[in-house]
Amino acid sequence: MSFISFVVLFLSGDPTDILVGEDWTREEVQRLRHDMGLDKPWLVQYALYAGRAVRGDFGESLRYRRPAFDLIAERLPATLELALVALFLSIILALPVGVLSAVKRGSLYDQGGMVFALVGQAMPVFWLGLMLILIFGVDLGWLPVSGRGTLAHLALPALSLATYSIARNTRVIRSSMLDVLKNEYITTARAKGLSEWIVVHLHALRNAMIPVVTIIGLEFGHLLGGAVIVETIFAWPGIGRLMIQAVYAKDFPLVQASVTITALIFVSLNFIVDMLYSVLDPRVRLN
Amino acid sequence: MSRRRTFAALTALWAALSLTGCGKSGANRPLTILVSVEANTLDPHFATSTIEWTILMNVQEPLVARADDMRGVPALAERWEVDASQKVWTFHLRKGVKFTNGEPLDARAVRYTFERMRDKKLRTRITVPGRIALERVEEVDAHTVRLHTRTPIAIVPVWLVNAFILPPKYYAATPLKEVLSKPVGTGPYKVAEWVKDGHIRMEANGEWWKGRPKIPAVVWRPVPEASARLAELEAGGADLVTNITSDQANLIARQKKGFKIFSVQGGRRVYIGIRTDWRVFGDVRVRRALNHAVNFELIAKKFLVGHGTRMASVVLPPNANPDVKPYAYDPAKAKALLAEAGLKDADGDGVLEANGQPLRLKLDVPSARYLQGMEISEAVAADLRAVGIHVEVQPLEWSVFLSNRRKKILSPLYLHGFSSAFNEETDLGVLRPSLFANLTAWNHPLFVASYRDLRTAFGAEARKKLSYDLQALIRDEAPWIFLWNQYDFFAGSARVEWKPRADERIFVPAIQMKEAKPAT
Repeated sequence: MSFISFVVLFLSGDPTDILVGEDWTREEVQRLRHDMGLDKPWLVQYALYAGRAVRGDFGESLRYRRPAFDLIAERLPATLELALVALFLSIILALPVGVLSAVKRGSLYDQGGMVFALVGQAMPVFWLGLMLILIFGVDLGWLPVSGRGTLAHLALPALSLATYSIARNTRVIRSSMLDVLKNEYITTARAKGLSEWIVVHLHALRNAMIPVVTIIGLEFGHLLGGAVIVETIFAWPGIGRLMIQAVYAKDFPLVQASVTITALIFVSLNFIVDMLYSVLDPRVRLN
Repeated sequence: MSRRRTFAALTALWAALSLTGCGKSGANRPLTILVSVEANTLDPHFATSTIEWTILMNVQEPLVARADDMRGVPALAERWEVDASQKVWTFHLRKGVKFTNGEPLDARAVRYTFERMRDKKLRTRITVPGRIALERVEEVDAHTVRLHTRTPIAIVPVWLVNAFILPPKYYAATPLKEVLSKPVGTGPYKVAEWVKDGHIRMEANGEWWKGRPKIPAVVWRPVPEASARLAELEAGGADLVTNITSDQANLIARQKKGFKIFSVQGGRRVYIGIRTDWRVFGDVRVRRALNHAVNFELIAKKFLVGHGTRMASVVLPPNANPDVKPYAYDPAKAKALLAEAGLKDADGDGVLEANGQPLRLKLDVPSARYLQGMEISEAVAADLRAVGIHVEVQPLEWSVFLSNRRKKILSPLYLHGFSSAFNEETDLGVLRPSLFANLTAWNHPLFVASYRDLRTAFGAEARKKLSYDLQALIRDEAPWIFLWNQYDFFAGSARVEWKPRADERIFVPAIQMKEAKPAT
């Protein structure tokens, strides 16, 4: 991951292109490239970086002149806050809609839910974000347009980020519930005279949650990725925006550190999801 | 019961959200300025971008400042003179000035500042010592300091505009990591808080030697999306919005919601570079033809909402030679010049040929970099096609464009812009062959010799003559297709009155705010 991002970034240009002033001479540009070690072969540059990174030293940002890790640590809480709230919204809104759509399959409610899922997945996040700003921030004046600070500042970016996930989770939950509801043990439960509420919530839902939990684990990675756009639109001070700026500035150490840390978070979450399988399904044993 | 509880909870949540979002548009809100990018550093020796210089000029001051009309004016130096050798500049410092941490402004502070710029361990990015060929700094007495240069440099004061003077004790004793975000100076404001990617909050410096600033507090917020910046203004969360397009400015002006549009002809000279080392572009008649082929008046009318006039040469007013006139749109003359240069359309396909090869070439355009850059370039390409030169516009990402510029592999024509230091010498300097960003390969012996003379000419009249002659030469030699000095557009709330500067910087004391009272 780190190697690929390094190569892609390296091929797209040189940080000195951004750092130098327009009035610099060719000699001054060459001197800066030498001072920054950018005149070395790129494999040597990567080897030097990787050698430091395995010891926990991600290097110093070329633009900020501060340790890359510190810059990420400053902004990580904002991104996690946004992604976690979006994840929470995507679960609590998708769960009832998905379950009801499955239980009332073919009804007007089901059709409405699926239209929402289709539209929610089709809407580009940048367009949705701007629409939410215009409606709730400008026309109605109910919510702040940009920035971070209060609970209200979180509402629009979290909703923009969550919409795609809500739509996708709704479809997954509906589909998973439909599969489970066809099983014989559901028929048996109904034959035993259990109420529909108990059949759906205690017998069907738990089993239907296994694919959903898998999706939710992956979803968090998607939310971290989506934060890049949402943070830019809403001027949210997170690592997504930091990464965008770092890519534009060809700030190699900062991009590398951001990619590595984001990948670590993603892998850790998937590990946690794997652990959760055993909780949801007793047939799955870790040993 | 359960439904009622749910409804009550949702209502309470909505009320909480609404209340926490309120209050930002109140009259007591600090002056809020939305900018498009975040400052990376607030250390003047590492600053490189306009936003960084903008923030810093409100906190720190140089010996010589640039006034709103772009003239050099005394700041921390009351006056200065150069000796007969033209290599020793004496600056007389203003007395009684203090940095906001209590340190006095004196010759020691000036010496420390210039020595820090040259500190090899720090690896600073500031180019001032190099530009003025600084040899050493001499403390004459507490309030007199001399800059010794290795060679005579006539525009030393011009280069000092970004040399903000620092308090030596604070900068020497504080770790670099800290001073990068907590600048201290003598300027009208102090940085009270910097939340990275969030905002920079400034408070008025009550001890400022020019008197208390009228606006007590200022907040600078980076909002990358132009639409979001304007939405914030409409929602009442901002007073001044930077970096908007002419289209957006037009739209706001038409809305009549009480918002103001401020515009200024900026210092950025936007042009199309002609690579004179490419085939026929070495022939001056062809370059002149390219200039005559472009209908800039129509471009300005169609894409620039009537703003802007065509540049005649490379020097900005008031240093521009009034006798040098822009190229007139004259396609017939363009065709005649091309014919005179031996270009013919032998096969009748509408494209001229040189040595049997059709004149088909690309015009590289950095996307989303210059105001209406793509639209202007497409119009220029159409004008050139009309006289028989087949030009295809090639949009490039800014980073790719920069990389190609460094590698000198841009197409024979390329859209580019140079900012200005508002001085004839620096304006003319963009055509120096040694400049890495100049890909024209235009290397005229008269230009090189006269420019060298200009650098060491100290008399105003001698400088004027050299500059005027060079401007005329450049106009005739046409290494560029001359376009325009880009306008900068800003949007403001009803409570703000302001006249923007041509250097894209915002000096807060120049802003009038309706309810602003002097800071206490």
